[in-house]
Amino acid sequence: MMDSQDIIRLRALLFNDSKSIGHVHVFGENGSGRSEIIRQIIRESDESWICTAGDFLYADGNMKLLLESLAKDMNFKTRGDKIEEFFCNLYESVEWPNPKRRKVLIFLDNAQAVVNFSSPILRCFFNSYKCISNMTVRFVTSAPSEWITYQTNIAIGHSPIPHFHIKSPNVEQCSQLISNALPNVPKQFIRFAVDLLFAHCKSPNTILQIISTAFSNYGEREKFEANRAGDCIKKAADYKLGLLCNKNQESTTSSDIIHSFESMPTSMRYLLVAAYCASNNSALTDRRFFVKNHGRDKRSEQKELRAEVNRQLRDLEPKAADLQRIVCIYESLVILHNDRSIRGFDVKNVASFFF
Amino acid sequence: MEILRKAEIQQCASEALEKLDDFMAGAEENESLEGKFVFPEKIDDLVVDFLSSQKGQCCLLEGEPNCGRETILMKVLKKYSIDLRVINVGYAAADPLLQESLARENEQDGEYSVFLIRDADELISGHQQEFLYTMTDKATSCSWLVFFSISRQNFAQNLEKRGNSRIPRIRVTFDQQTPTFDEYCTAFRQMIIPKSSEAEKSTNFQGFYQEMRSDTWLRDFYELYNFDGLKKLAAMILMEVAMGGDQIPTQKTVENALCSLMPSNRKLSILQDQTLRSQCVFLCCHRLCRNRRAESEFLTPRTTFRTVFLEYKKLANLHYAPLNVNNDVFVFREIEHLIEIGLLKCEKMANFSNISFRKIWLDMDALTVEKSISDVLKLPTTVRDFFATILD
Repeated sequence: MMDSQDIIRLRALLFNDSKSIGHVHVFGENGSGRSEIIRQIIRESDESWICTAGDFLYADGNMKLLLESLAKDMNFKTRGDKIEEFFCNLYESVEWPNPKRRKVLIFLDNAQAVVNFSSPILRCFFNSYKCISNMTVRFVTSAPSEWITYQTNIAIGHSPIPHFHIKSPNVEQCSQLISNALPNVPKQFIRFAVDLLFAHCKSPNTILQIISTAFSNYGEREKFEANRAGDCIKKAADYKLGLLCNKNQESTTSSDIIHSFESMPTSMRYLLVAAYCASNNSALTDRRFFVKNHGRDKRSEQKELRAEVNRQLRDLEPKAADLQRIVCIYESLVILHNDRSIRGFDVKNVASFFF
Repeated sequence: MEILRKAEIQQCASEALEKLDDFMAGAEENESLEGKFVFPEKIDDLVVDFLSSQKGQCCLLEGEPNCGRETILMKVLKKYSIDLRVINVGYAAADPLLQESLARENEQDGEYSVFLIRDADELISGHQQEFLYTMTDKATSCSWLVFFSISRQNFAQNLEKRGNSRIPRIRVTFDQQTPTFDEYCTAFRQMIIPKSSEAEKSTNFQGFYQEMRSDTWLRDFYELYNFDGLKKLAAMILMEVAMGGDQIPTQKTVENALCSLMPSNRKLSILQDQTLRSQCVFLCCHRLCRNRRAESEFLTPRTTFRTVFLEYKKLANLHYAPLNVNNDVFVFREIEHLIEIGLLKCEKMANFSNISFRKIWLDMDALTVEKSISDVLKLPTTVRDFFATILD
């Protein structure tokens, strides 16, 4: 996906001996193969470097976890979250290919998750190797966007971090990749699909999935039928990308929603209605759900109507409602309609309905 | 002939790259810069005093981040083969045991130690000042030489009184008065062509340096970064040249190096990488925020998820049908993606029950966006026209 000149540049950036370049940040859109390219380059690394890989997303704000995973990868033990100790142990216990020039490359994937780490700890992590003079450490981070997006408290004039941009593939590269992966799908079909989908999705993996589903629906045909192919692709992409191409589809989608409401289990429907009531009415008026005749017997109908109008003026939009309220309203609705068979579930089930 | 020339340049570049590790801009003995930078000797004197008298001492090292405080200190200590013990303040804060063990340690062995307290600025916050007291007290009671590395000039004023009275009076200021552009250029030349190296003799390499025409583009860099940044730039250029494969180094190699360090165009290239759909969502947001009045003078103009969705629908329904989506979820998803990669910003803490009313705004220079619409982004004509027209 990248031309060879770029690969050479990236390799030079990762494996040069200069101590001035301590941290390299690689950025590019998700799904463009950013981390995979780095991994491949590291796999073919030259022998004098020791390479290791960690993942900020895996560590999830826990420095101990990150250090342990790095140490495990390099076959030595470190205890706790002591960063200095980690680099000390790294220096002493790893079998270096050339003990006179100790060089280590630490690849850290998903650097967008650095926001979960506190900044003094991160600064310590990226700087504390400097007190060991006989060791070159290069950090390589990889994230969808530039480093400063995730580390906003860097002062102006702070020394710059070399960035390397990995472009996302263009239409030709993408269809080339997909036809390599799906040799029995005709090239014309692939090209047609990529052209259609590319405005919505650039990730070759996602497009590949859509095309393979679409092609199994389309089937083998002697002549290429553009209309049919288009329909199949749109149908396959519907769930992932939500394409909408002709206008009469809009009416079908809204009827889909109604249809799906009817196909729900009864208890779920009651629950939805209860959730609607709870979020569109203030808790003060809940009384009417739990008393006879909606608590209306003492008020005149006119009064009630006026109150309703006032309420509507006040609460234009639905609000978040307590789960407890929803459950109570649900229970009373069910009692009201004498549907005793569906009563009695625990809160865990309710929650699972919502998600 | 060309091949020989290329090989020679690469050879020189890798030699220069090796020498660059030891290069200290400003600290070099240099005719034009002489007399301005005397800090290595100051530290040297301190260490010699300490070694002869064994009297505990504290010292502040003032200077901007990455101005070489530690490097110089380490060099001096290496000369006398003394071990340096480095303590990170952030680390000390995370580990309460460290302070205790330090306090206890010195009573057992009467040997001297040299400490460097890194990021000492953070000692200002209340409970961490304790650590400062421990170090200063112990320094006088036993033989410790403690260096505090700080970057704020007003460090002492922000301490509590009991801290202020203990603050060391000795300070070494690494204040490289902002270099003039000429000094900057000289330093750059020295980095690329180090003294007494092959590069100095090679006419081809000198020719390469001339071809770079550094004076034309170095000024932008000079305005952003100090010598440390410059060193990185030199390293990047030398690295590109030395390891550039079989291509003859050209202006392009230099541009690449410069581009990877200058933050200017990164956001635009991220935007270019987006799908047409998310580019359009972004531009809808731009179109809504452009020429709008802000709610107050401290805020940028903002819009909401919902308005962006409506604008996007307008674009899809009236001008460019292939972009249409069947649910607002997909547009919201694009907006969230744009927020994640830092092209848009959104209100953080507000507790919205409904995502549609969250406020969003652009986190990118509006002029750059404006310019990119017409050429860089390669939009379909109707879409381009839609975004190029100005709302009133």
